Amino acid sequence: MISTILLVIACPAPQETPTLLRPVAVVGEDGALHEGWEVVIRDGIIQAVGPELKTPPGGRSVRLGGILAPGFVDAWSWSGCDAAAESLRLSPALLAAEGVDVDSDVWEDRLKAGVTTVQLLPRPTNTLSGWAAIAASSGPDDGAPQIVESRSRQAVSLIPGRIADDRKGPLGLPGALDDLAENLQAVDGVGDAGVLALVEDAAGVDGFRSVAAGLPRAFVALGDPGVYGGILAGDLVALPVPGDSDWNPRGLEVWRRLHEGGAWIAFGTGNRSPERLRFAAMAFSRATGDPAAALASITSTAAAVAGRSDIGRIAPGARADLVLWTAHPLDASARIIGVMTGGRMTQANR
Amino acid sequence: MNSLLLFLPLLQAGDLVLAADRLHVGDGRVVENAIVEIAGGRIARVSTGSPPSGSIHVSGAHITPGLVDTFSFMGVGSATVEESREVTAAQRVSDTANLADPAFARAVAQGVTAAYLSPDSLNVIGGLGAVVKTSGGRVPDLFAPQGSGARVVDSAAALKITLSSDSSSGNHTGHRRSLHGRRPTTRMGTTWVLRNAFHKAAGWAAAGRAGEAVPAHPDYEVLVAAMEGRIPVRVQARRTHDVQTALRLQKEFGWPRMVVEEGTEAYLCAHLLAEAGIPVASGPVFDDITRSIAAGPSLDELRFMADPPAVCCEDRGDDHEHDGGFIPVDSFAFDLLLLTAPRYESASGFLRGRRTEARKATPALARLLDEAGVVHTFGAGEGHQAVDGESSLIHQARIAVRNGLDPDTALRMATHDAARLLGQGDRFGLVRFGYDADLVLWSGPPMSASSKPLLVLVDGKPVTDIQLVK
Repeated sequence: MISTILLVIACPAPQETPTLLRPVAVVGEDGALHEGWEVVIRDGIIQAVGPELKTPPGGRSVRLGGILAPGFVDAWSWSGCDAAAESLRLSPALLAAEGVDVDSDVWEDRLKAGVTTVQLLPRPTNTLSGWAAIAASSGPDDGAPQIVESRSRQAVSLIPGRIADDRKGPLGLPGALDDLAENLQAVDGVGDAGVLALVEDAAGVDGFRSVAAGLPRAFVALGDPGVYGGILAGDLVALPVPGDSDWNPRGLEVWRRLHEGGAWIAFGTGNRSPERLRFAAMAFSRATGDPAAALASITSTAAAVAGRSDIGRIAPGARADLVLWTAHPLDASARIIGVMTGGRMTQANR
Repeated sequence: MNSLLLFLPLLQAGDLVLAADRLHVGDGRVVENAIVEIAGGRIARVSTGSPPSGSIHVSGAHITPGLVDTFSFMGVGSATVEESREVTAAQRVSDTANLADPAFARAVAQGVTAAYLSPDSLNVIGGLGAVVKTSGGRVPDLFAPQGSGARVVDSAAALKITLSSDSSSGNHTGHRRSLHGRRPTTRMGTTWVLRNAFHKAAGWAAAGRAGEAVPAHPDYEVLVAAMEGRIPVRVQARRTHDVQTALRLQKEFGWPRMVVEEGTEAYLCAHLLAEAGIPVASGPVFDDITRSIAAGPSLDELRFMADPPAVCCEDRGDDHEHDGGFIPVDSFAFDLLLLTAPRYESASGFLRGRRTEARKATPALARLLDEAGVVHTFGAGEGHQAVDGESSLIHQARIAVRNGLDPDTALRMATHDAARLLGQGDRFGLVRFGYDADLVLWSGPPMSASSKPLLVLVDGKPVTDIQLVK
């Protein structure tokens, strides 16, 4: 039966034709399953969500034998992108979008893991590292990854071990903050796009807040957020997904306390495998008892880290980046049936 | 003592009454059978009499103001000045210090309630030091108790200038592959960079006053503030000639508020400091680093000991000319020495500088300066980084007492004099009405080697997240 459905939805639909998707259930913004809900998409954008929707005039209706969930969003990653200007002290004009490697296997891995969108970062070797980019894992150009936005956030690195350079400076956090105080607010477009700051200590968080006053912001919290996360309440905080040896009770407790303390948590893979995003969200759900925040951590909150509210949600006006699952995506038994990016079917789990 | 331990966790931040057999006010005076009432984080009343009911009273205990460390690197680390420039006057150590560093909790456990955090000495003008309370700060650590960590009281407490060899050590000329291929490489260069910066700042300020459009310059603003006395200048000078250079520069640029930092050899020119009214905030006379100054030779010296040049030994014979010199040791002993001695060759410029500039260090520094009429305060440097507390501020004071300083004077130096030196003399450092309730309840006389803090209050709050009594 599933293969029949796949055949139906795998036929590329003309983009201008509105389509009523009728899955078994839709994962809503509350993270829960809503049986009988349907979704109307047109031109790659979600038009309507809810029960008992009508087939749009001139459109068509497609039954889907699975659970429709928003595609996952990787809040920050370096995989499939190589952008750095290490000969410079500051590189605010660098575009991660220009460092995308479309031939990398990671794009296929992302689709297999249900990750439809990723924010790509320049390497964090310069305090002002350059512009992060938002990429869809697959696009209209023969399925190749597509840049959705080439200036999502100005990436700032306050990781002393990465920015320290004894040829050109800075040598550490004080010099980095000096550089930011002089240059950050003057970066063209930063007032609208905002800043994504990579931090690993309280001084970096505080220092960044003072030099980035008034700018939209989000943090990538590296190092041990347990020792400095108490000052992240109310902020968008992207955490790294744990690696194989990183799972421990303290780490989960750090997530719980950050969540309880009022930080908006998202996950990013950095250099790790895309499939870890879902594992992180499942563990986050268990640690916090908040499945809605858990799903958001790899969908809508992750998109917010990239400055977007129209990605990672099944809601009118959002991009039709959808994944069809055999069960709720945070259910360990769930498998992917199909993936849609920008209203276009891109891959079925073979 | 056990009863105090039992009810330590019950103590709240509210009003408290402490009673002590002896109260050290902080200005040298001692009051018997004192009662200190605390309200709203401040000292509400100081009186004498029998311990009132409900008061905290430990028989034989002494109360002092919280100790004030006037030269500390707690939470500062080595990466707190930006070395790609020689002059970083506007950088604030409070921006990058780790205020949750365990050193603060260790300092509180040893009775230190406030400290001056110094920028590191790697730049000629290293930036602005900060005055902090050692407890009561925000808690970035998700697992730390509320109120632990330091709290910044003044983020522009003094401007750090380094005249010792630290700011030139490690620099070189010749190639550009490293930013250490820079000025200064000598003491003369250090002074040149310093003069250059202040002259430019003065010109910048004069142009501004003359109505010229001058671009904003954070470093110059700080240098001008120092010349106008709005910010004290703290000159790190260890050797006599560095102290003299500091005095010359003070006259040249008119720094109205100057403090000599460390002042290892300041006792050799104490009369000059006394005449100019310049105080000395000394560094530790006995910590992990200076301990080795007193006891440990360098690798070169070890080699020399093992194989002294013949001319030296022939010369030396049995005469007394080289009594302070080297002792020949056989190769076996040399091997042992190499195994046990610390290696200064791998130390950073800062540590090397301390070592080579401390040949004339004396544990009697505080007494000698006091006798000469120079205001002196203590600093523990990195002393509170150590877990054992044996290099803490109170130990610096006790060493001074063992070397002839009057105990009440030593306590005054560590409390009231220290608070005044930091510009906080009307806020803490005394047990007096209206002052911050920064208090230490000691098990016995504070300068006695067997005394220890039983209870420490910072802003009236008992610090309960430290193991005071065990």
